[in-house]
Amino acid sequence: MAKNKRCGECGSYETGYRDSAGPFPWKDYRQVLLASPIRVLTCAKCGNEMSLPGDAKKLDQAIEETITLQSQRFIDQIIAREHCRQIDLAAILGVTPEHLSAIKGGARIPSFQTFNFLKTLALDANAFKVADPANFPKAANY
Amino acid sequence: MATKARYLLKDVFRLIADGSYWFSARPRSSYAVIKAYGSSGKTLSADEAEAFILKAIGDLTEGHFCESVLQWNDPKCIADVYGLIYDERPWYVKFRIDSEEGETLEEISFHPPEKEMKTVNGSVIPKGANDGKE
Repeated sequence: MAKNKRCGECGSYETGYRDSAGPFPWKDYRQVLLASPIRVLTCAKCGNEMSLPGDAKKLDQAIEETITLQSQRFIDQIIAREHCRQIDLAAILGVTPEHLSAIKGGARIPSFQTFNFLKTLALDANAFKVADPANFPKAANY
Repeated sequence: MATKARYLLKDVFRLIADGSYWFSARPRSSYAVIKAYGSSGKTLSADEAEAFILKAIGDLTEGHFCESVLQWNDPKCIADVYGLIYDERPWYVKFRIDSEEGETLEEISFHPPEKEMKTVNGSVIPKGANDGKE
């Protein structure tokens, strides 16, 4: 029987694939928590994560699916609550309508900046009005 | 201080070309690379970070070698440490060749150096901007 891989952190052989939802650092996202856990080679003793060939691609796919799903939910939430058009939301986000469409359709993964802005607009009902580009702050206010 | 690495680079390169490698500590390698580039214009996915590391290792020469170290106080586990400037950034690199079941390259560390390093050819690799590992 093949021996378990040795943990690169503590040297333990108590390693194996375990379900994990993260968080995982990824591109410009400080961390991503997966919508559904994936199998990650982990050390039972110290929690260190390891990677065999192919594991990184599976992780990337799971992360992209999570960000896509979450972005779609945020977009739907905002449009339903604010009764705005997707083109108006794009203007607030500072992206082209085509880019936002691609994000909504899952063809593109938003940058962390865009994702975080979407999240803020979705979770904070006041943020949409504040972020409206038509509401440029008057000079007397700053 | 030993001036020759425990493992021949030609064997390291061969194992990478054959796909016989693995990463035994993501926080010290691929995650550290992702975090090092996180706020720059060049962001990396998990797979891209691993590819970046393997490409950088492919750039190593004997002159980049620093020292061989004992892993986990196990005399059967010696790892080679290298220091190099790659993509205009300093990196601490540590790996070993595991011969327990066939031959596999075990990539242990690839992150901005926590302190200054000196290679056998006299180059000084500066401490990284952030150590990048958890």
